[in-house]
Amino acid sequence: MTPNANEDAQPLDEDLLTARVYTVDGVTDVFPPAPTLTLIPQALTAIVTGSPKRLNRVNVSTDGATTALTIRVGTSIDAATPDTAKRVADTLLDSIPDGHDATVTVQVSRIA
Amino acid sequence: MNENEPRTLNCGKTIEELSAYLAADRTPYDPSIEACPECLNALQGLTRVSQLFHDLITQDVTDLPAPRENWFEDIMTNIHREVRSGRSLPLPHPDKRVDLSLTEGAVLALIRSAGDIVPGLVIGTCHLKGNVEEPGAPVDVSVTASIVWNQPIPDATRTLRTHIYEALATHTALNVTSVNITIKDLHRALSDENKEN
Repeated sequence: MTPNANEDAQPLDEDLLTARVYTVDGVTDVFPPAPTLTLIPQALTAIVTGSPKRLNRVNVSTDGATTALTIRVGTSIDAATPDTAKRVADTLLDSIPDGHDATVTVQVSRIA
Repeated sequence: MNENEPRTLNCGKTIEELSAYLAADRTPYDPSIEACPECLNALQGLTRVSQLFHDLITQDVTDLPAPRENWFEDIMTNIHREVRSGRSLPLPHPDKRVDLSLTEGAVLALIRSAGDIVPGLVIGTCHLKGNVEEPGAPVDVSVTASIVWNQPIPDATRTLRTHIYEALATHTALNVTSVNITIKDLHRALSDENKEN
């Protein structure tokens, strides 16, 4: 039996991916991938720990065959937003190990 | 909307909560606000309104009526309406595995920030008219604004229009075909109204 390629590849680490996105020129923020109201447990953790980064991260999900990387970012008004968004997507694409069938969704939610 | 009805964002926060948070100098730190783009866009707009209010009460212009009583309420309601994510504006990427987009709320906040460049002007409403979700479709930008009495309106609107065009060209892939600006309010400082009372 041929194993699923995604089972052989290393899992994508959300914290590592998030850290890489923060290094992209023009990125000012990484936001929770869903409206905060739906993230109440994580929000409570963030309040208790004082660590909003527990909320703000790349979201990695999989249906077994395809991995979806989703992120909401804020961008700098001093850099062209389409270019920044493209750099974020390219950074995430470059982070996908061989053997992963993945999609990347980047939403810019704030320019400041 | 009833003026006593809370103006709630998609994240659950209200404009009134954000206004109180701003008034408290954003303390104690609330990660559910500081990690939310809608809240941050709203705080940015509310900060400008607050600054404008301060500017108005420290100016000395006497020839025109003060702003309407509900002028600031209207602006806050518009900020509430605009900061919600809204439609999704596509951005280009050559790889078909990638989906890039920009929220309408972020773009409207960007347009509102362009108003900061014009002294004494505050944007009331912003609308993107057209199918912004279709790449290349023509989009008309419609803006209303209020301006303090001593500013030349043609110069102010010309400057605002230029900055809106530049901001949208830099930060979006929209095909902007027009930027229409309507000055709906002309006012003097609030402090002079207070002196008369």
